[in-house]
Amino acid sequence: MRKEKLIIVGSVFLILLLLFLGVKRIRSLQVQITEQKESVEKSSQRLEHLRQLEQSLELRRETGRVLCQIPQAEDPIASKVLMGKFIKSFLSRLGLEAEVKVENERKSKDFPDVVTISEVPMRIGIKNYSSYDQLMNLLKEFRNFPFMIEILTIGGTDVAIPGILRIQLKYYAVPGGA
Amino acid sequence: MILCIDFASKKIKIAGFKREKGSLKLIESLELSTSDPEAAFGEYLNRISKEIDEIRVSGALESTFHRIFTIPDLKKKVFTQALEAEVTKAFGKEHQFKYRDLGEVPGPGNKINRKIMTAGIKRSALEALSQMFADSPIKPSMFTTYPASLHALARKLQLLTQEPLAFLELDSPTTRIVIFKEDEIRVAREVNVIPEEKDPDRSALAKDIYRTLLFYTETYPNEMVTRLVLAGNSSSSKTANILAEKTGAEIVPFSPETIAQTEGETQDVPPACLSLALLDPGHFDFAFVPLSVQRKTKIRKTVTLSFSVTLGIILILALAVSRLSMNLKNLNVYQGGIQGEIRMKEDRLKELGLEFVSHSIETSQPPWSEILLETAAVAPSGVVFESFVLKKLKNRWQGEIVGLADGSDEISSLLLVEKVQNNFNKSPLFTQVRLVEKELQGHKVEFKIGYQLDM
Repeated sequence: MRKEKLIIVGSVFLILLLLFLGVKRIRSLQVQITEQKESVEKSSQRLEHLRQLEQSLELRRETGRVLCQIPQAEDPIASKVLMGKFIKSFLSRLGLEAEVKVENERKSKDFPDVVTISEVPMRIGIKNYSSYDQLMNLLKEFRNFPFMIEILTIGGTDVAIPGILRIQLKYYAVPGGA
Repeated sequence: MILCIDFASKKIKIAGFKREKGSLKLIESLELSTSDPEAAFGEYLNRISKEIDEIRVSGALESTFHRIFTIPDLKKKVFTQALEAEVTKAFGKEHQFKYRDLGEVPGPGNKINRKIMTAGIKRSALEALSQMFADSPIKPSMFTTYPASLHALARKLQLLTQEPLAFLELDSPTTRIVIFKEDEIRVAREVNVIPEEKDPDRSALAKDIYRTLLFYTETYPNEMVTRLVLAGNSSSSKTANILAEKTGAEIVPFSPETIAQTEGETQDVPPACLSLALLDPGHFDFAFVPLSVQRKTKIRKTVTLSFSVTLGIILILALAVSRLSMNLKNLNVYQGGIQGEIRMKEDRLKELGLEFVSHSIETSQPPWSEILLETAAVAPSGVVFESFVLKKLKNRWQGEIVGLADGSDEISSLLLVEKVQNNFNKSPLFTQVRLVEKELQGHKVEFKIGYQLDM
């Protein structure tokens, strides 16, 4: 009777140990599977997004709906000066007198790392404009270049540059895109 | 071969049978009656162990009992306890016993009793018998008592009727007498026999047997044993005639050849061995198992069960783990495939930088011209906008307009402010329009409206 009890107790202990270890391993695998499924789900979504983006970009390339790049110099200071002059000249052609402040070029955080794009922050303060149409024409012209307007104010002081119309924007420079 | 062994008090009778087409065939038969029969038996067992399929054993009569009890018809557990109490009262606690229910008998009043045939064997004797097979590779499948096994033979020979029947195995130096009536074993005795040289007319033997028959008549009044079955080495026709004459009973010859075939020369068939060969161990009520064997069997069963359960759990867990591991592996492979494709797409996107920028600007910049036109349109006559701001904050375009409402009086100015707010609300371009502040300046009202672009 004692031997039987010992065998039963031993077996129960062994079974419980096996169950404990087995269930622990199963739970660990289930957690890994759940995490991997989520990871696969995210990757699938990302892949789908990339596919759609690629299709869209390919279509854009095929249809020629691509922005113009402003020529840049190798030297950053020269490039900065060149950029300021270009903007001023651009505004002048539209009949607008403006003050332009161009900052140093830096790597853009608006795009994923897969594409190497840098940005040139700048501020434009237009001292006067004759009509609303002139203003809208300016905004329309901006659309031909990789300008990303961040703040636009008329009569406000949110952008630190003198002028009635003040614009804070970024110019996106794509290597080899000019 | 089924090896059937009958342990008589001073002899060991052995017979080997084979089942052929439903009938028994005697292969060999022998008696061990040397000074040390147990040693000789051990040697014999080792010699033929390879030929043995099964061993059946009947124990010596001296350490057994057979008694009929009448027990009230109770529930099984209580009934077993009552029977155990009766057996203990009659024979003490040192016996292992088995029973057979012989049916209902009327009890006192309207109560019903049950007639129970019991057969017991001393635990020590049973253990000693079991110990004799300790070195044998094949252990006995069944131990029983001599009368219990003999009863099966008598039934097979259709000798059991309502008339009592005495089965005599005449042998030297002892003779065994068992008296049956139907399914009851009523008397079982073993008497010493005076050798035939000293008792030529067998009168001493006849006297001993007659005494047993008298004992039966005294125990069961109005009943007489009228039939004697004679078996054994000493059952000559001379002895049969003497016994018939002395007891007045009918002598029924023992004919084992009707049940078991013998091979070659005529061999003696020990009746107890033949009886053992006839039994079905699975359905025999008086099959004993020594306690030590029961314990070993129980331990073996417990070990087997524990091992099976443990193995089963291991298998289930292993299956579950392997299945989950396989799933995880497949997911890893699938994920690897997706990651590879993503890398390919990203490489391709590197070549489409300018297109990417164009796409990004197109999808994230608001329609500036429409916004300026819409802003101008929401201002009714009498309202002047002093400043306009639209900026991107956390992927949302938020705007603020500061203006001055110049109505004919304060109420008109306030209504103008309300109208501006309503116009903003109605516009499909603006959402979450709220009046941030308003302040009376004479009859004019200066106000600030906040909004978001609905992109």
